[in-house]
Amino acid sequence: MDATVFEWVQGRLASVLELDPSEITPTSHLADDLDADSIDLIETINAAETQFGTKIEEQELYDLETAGQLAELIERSMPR
Amino acid sequence: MAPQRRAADVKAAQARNFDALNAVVGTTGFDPHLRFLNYGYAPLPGEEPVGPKLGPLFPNPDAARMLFQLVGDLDLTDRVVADVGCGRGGNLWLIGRHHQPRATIGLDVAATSVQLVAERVPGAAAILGDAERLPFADASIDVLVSVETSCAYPDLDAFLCEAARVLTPGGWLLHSDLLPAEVGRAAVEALGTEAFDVVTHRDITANVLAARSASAARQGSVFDATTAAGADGGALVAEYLGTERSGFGRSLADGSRRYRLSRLRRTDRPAPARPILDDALRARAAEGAAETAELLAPSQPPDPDERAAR
Repeated sequence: MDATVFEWVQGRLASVLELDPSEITPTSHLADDLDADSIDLIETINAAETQFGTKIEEQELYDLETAGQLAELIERSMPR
Repeated sequence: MAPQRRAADVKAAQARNFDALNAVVGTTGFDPHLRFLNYGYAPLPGEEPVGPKLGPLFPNPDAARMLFQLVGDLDLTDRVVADVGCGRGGNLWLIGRHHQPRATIGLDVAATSVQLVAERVPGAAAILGDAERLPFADASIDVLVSVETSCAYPDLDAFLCEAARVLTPGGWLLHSDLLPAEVGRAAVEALGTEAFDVVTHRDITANVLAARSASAARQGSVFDATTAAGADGGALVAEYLGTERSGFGRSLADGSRRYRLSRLRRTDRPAPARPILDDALRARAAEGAAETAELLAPSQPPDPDERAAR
């Protein structure tokens, strides 16, 4: 996993969810551990599209479970 | 004003309303993710959810559960499925995600919704059309889905008879809606006399209110940033969210509308001759449709209490 992308995800989720970034690790479960909902996730994805020029496929998005999976999806979706 | 003229006005208003809603949603980053236009179905305490498991971050899961309740354990493999009043295409998208139908067809009165379905629902045919005069051949559809749309039809009786006409023997009408209380019950009972076997007929008002009470405020936060309370979209969005203070929320709370879900299996007997509802019920359904159009009209000023609460 690209450390820069994960750090960005960590910072973004921390800001959206009003958490300390240190509370968010790659294995943090978005719903159970961080109490994120789909609205939080979609906001984060939209910000990632602006930040990195990614285009995320919805099918994958809805099945995400952890913060690490979210970072990996963003990384995979970056323009090459 | 002649009844036909009024009906045409109501239909044109419904199309305008949903074009307006699509325009409001289109200004948000949620546009590609907002697929469903139903109030949702939440299992009550002790009730097992029906249907495929959704990921923890699936958007509007209660709206998807409405479809799962309707489909139940039906095998849609190789079936021709039509969603009449398909809106933004969520039901067809979800059916394509979890089943292998032979064909999916979406029909709607709003041109922007039809365009969204054509662009965003893989494999679906999208048709601009009138639910009271379905552009389908007799006995050509295996499953007809109708979710929270018939309350907008000035001639509900025509739609019900059309559904009976286009369904194959053994086919299914999967219907849920918040019709005027006396109309919803009578409509299912009338269909059940000849053309259909009533397999499921439930009042799900409590499930729908539970879904709204869990989600309306959070969903409203999506629009707050982009639609100022006084903007044209304000009242429309409040009705779409079905908050307690919205017109729909109040009509469910005071019992003038009830939310019913029914699963009806088409018999091999002929489609019924119209009308199947008596004059009073047809008039009440038409009145309900006109009220629906008014509630969703974007030019309506938002309820001041609603604005204060949000």
